[in-house]
This record gives sequence, C-alpha cells and structure tokens, in this order.
Amino acid sequence: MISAELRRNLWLEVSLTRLMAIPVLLGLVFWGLSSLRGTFNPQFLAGTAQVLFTLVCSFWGAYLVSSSITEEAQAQTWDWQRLSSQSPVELMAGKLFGSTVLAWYGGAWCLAAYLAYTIMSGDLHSVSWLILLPASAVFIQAGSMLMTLGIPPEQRPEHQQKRGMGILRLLVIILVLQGVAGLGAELTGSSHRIQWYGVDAELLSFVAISAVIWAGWAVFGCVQRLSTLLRCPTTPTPWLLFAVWCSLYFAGFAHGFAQKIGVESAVSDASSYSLTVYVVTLSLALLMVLQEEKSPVLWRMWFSALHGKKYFLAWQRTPRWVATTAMSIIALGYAAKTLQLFSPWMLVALLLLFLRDAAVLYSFYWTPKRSRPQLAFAIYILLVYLLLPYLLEPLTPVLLPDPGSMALSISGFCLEAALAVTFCVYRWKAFYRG
Amino acid sequence: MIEVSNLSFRYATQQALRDVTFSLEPATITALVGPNGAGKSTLLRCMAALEIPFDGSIKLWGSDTHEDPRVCHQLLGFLSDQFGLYDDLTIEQSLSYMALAHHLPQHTLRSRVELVSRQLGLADRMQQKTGVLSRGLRQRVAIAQAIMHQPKLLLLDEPASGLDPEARNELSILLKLLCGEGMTIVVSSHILAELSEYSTHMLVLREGMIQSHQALDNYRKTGAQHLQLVLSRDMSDAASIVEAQPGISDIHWEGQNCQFAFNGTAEEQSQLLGALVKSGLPVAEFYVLKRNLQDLYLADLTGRVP
Repeated sequence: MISAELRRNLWLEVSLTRLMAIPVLLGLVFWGLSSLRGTFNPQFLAGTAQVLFTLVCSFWGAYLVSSSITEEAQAQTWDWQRLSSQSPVELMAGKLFGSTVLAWYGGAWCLAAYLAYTIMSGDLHSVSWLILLPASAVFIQAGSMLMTLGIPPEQRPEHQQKRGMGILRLLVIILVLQGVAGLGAELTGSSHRIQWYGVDAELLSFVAISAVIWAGWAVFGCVQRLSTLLRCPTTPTPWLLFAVWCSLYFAGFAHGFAQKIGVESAVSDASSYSLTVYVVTLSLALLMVLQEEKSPVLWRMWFSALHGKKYFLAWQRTPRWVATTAMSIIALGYAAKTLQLFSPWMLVALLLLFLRDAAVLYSFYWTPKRSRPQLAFAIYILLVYLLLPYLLEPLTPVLLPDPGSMALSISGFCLEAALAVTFCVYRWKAFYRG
Repeated sequence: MIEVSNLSFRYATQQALRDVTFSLEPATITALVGPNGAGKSTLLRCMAALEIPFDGSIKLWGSDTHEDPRVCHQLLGFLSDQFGLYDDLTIEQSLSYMALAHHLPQHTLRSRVELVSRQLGLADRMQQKTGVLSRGLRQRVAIAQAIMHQPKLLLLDEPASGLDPEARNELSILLKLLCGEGMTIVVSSHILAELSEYSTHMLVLREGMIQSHQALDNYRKTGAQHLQLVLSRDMSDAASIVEAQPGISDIHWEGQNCQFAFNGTAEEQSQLLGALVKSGLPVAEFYVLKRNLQDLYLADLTGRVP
C-alpha cells in the first residue's frame, strides 16, 4: 500500500499537464542542442542525456526534497506528521521519492535516451552510467534531505530564504562526490583505473558501485534522522557502523596515497589504516558535535539512565559524537602503536583540541541568554585558530599543535580542555539551578 | 486516566512550568486558563509528547509520554494554536491523508472521513482546497484532522480564536458530543464565557504553576451548592436565623444579600426555604448561584470568594 506521505506528494506533484509538459520540454532541449550542432550525433545525445539527468534529477530533485521539508516548517504542518503513526521509513520514502517524483519522471526520459544510445552503440562500458546516474541522484537528494532535517524546524524557513545556501550546499556535495570519484585516479596516476586496498579496478565501475553504497547509506541516514525527530527509539550503533564503513572505505586509498607521496617504504599498511580510521572517526565526531541537538535535558537523561544502571537506555541516549569520539580513542590507541611518520602525541593533541572546542560549543548553547551560539562558536574558532596564533606568536605551542614542543602543547591543551569542560559543567548546573 | 506529576519545563532563558501536578478523569472537558505566558501551550505540548520535559512525568492511560511517545501519539489528538494545513490539498484529501497517516484500515477510511466531515460541517465543501478557506473553516478542518483517529485525549490550544459566534456554538456542541462519547478533552482559551458552555473542570495556570484545579458546577452532581438569599428589608437577627439552619456553611452577608454553601438535596433545599420563611425572614429571592467560569477564574487570581 502507498504510504500516506507518498500519496500526499503524488496528489500535489502529479498532474496530466505536468506529465505531458516534461517530455515535451526535454525533447525541445535535445532538439535545440542538436540543431545548434547541425548534425545528429548519438554520442552528443548521450552526453546531453547525462547532463540533463544530473540537472533534472540531482539538482532539481535535491531542491525539491529540501523545499518539501522546509515547507513543512513554514506551513506549520510538521507537528501533524510527528503526531501521526507514520514510521520513519514511510516518511522517508514519501518525502524522498514523493516530492521528487517529477524529477525522477524527467530523469527517466533522459535515462531512456541514454539507454537508446547504449543499445545503438553497443558500448557496454557505458552501462555503468545507468547505475551511476540514478545512484548519485539518490545520494544527492538524500544528502540534501539530511542537511535540511539537520536544521532545527524553527530555523528552516530562514534557511529556505537564503537560496544561495542551498546552491552552495549542492556544490559542496558535488565537489565531495567528484573528490571521491577522482581520488583513486589521482592516486594511481591514471584517470581510468583505481587502486583500492592494492586492487586495481576500473574507475567508472568502482565509482558506480561506490555511489550505490553511499546512496544506500544516505537513505539509511535519512531514516535514522527521521527516527530521532519522530522520537522512535534509536541507538548510536547504526552511526558507528557508518563510521566503520567510512573508515574502511577511505583506508582503502591509504596505501595508494602513501605511494603517491613517496612514503610507502616508511609507512606500514597497519599504520596508514589506523591513521585513516582515526582521522575519519574524529572528523565524523566533529560533524556530529556540530549537528546534534544540545539540550541539557538530553544530557541529564543520559546521566540518569547511567545512574539507574539502565545501560541499554543509556546506550540509546548516548550522544552520537561521544560514541564516535570513543571510537577515535580506540583508533588512537592502535595508531600510537603503529605510527611511524610522526609522534602519536600529535594525534592526542588533536583529540584534546576537539574536546576543548566541543565543551566551548556546548557552553555557548547553555548560556542563560543565548543568542546565535553558532555564530559565537564560528568567531571563537577564528579567534583561537587564526587571530591568537598570529597576534601571540610566542604562545603558539599552546594554541596550535607544535611538533617542536609537543610536551608544552599537550600540557597546554590538557589544561584548556579541563577548563572548558569545567566551565561547561558549571553552565549545565547553572541551567538546572534556573 | 491522565496523570501529570511534578512536571517542570525550561526554555533556554525561562522556566515555563514549575512542579505541575494534576490528574484528569476520563470523559471530562478541562478548561486550561491563565494569563499570557502562564505556560498553557507548553503544558499542552508536553502532554502531546512533542516536548521533552525538564523534570517530572506525564502518563496517558499508563503510557509515559517521555518513555513511549509514539504510543502516546496514537492516544491523543493535538491542535496547536499555530496550526497549519496543506493548502494545496482539498478538504477530502487532507482528511484522507490524516486517516492514512494514522493507519486507519482501508475499509473504514471512507466512512470515517465522511462522519468527521459531517460532524464538523464540512461535508458540502469536500472538494475545496484548504488554502482558500476562511479562518473559521480552516479551524474546523484542523479539528477534523485532530480527531480523525478517534483519540482518547484531545488537546486543543485556543481552538475558538478566529471563529464566529455560530462556529463557536458548533464547536461547543461538538466538544460536548465527543466528551459524551468518552473522549477526554483539554481546551486552552482566553474566551472564558465560551469555555463555561462545555467545560466540566477548570485548571488555572499562573507563572508556570497550578493556581487551582476544580470541578465546575455543570459537572458536580453531589456536594455543596452555593445559594443566594435576598431579603426585602433589613432584619437584626437575620444572621443568627440563617446560621441556625442545618447544612449551611461559608456564609457571606452584603447588606440584605446573603450567599452561603448548602449541602443537601433539592427536597432539603425546599425545606430550608420553608424554615427561613417560617422564622420570619422577609425572603424576596432564593436561588442557586450558577458560578460563572470567569468569576471563578478571577476569584482564583485575586483570592476572593466568587
């Protein structure tokens, strides 16, 4: 049975006029571009189909899905959905595939044109595009949905007004995708082959398979995010599995990267893998500390579950960034044993800086008369990482990790982190004192 | 049964609810009243399991809104004061969507949509888009959406704002009907006269705390009634005559007017009147005082007897 949300979107989006207009418009674009060239060229047709699919399905689709979520907040209908019996999967399917149904319809025409080219040319190599294009569209749309869901509902209309932000977000996604796609080729020095865990693979097929898996994770991420928003019980386990997947995926390129920068003989595989896992998990922890809800009530609930020895409940309530940081610490322990290129204390310094900044971020959120905590945090980051090291050069070792005076750096960061955490705890207690 | 225990809620910069404790009986209509900023909307949002309380608990028929919010969502219907509708859907589509969103069985869906649309007086407008409706009609569609899944608890935040007198009367009739069917209803409103029409209980919130929670006369079937006695002229021993009667308490004199609480049946009330007349009191008027919700509310705020 079609879910309520999917049906609602179909009611809103699908009409006979639109169904007829889209192929006509696409046909006119194909015809217009072919006319400009003067001759009919099947390869050109295929290229146009690829570009049009990306524009219609990925770009327009991402805009549509983001708008559909923003409009819920704008029209104040989000409470109806939260109070309904719809599951996170139903809502995800309804929003992700319902609001973009016309984009997919247009995309299907483009793919049909591309398929016609593949059959006519007999070029089996291009079949990978038939997987890559839809998978990347799902990835971009789901990514756009995740980013919009990450914005608190009351701020979504404001973000919607900043159209430039949406375009910027999409550009970032495209750049990340291109970076991932081109990374292997760059590392191996060939634009058509890629090395992953030392295995030589064909680039396009690798990217297509990667896109399918990443799209799957993005869709799963949407379900997880909606579960949190609908207050369904969740645990950090799926997020940690994602962190493991990211670590494994990117660690696959570590060997090639070591080769590329000429340190292959000085770095063992174990060393490069553990370092990758550390960097990836710490980056994900940073992402989550910025994105997760920072209500003092949630922390209180976590502590109360721990206090009551309700460990599964405590696990459910564990902030994702805390779980990911724990994973980073494990990776750090392993990296410390195997690291050869530089001191493992450098990694400890990064972790301490991360903890300090996380505590400062929370303090901004828990200020009694808070206003724009994100802006305050951005100014703080500029201050401690750019302005202060520039103005107070002799104090640089206690502001930024300094390999030359690592003991001083570590001591300074320990003190700063301890002070920041103490201040954060003070804010938390002050919040409860009212 | 709805039980709210030691509920506290804090926004970043202010405490909205402080140690709120009360319970609601099933099939009652509670008027939630209080000045602006008293915490009425926050209380309703907490009861609707849309906000996580800072402290305390809310249980709806044994389910904790914090531990099992999804279970509670199925038990309740909530209409926020700033509700929204899907403006590009017709009324029929909006109601069908809500029925589907609550997983109503396919075979009952159509009949439920028809019944609710009839109850809310929307049956003849089903093909109109909600975006073109007047404020009053939009309110009706929103209430229809909130009761589509036949919740046991209905929470309405300022449901009558923007309604014309006729629509308010219809809302009053509907709420009494739903209450009669066993639904427990909490209504927050500033229009106290209208709440008097249908409320069985009144919960007064002030500065996030409960000022009072009491049953209203139209619910109270037993217990003391307040009576008014008016004399045609002054009489020196009138007070002692009244005080001497059985079942009378809480006596207040104002000139020739006397208000008192009387605990007894209609028959005993009739006997009381006879006794007063027989004692020589010049009784001009003798009647049961219908306590107005507004009077009760103001009395609660000022601390005087209504």
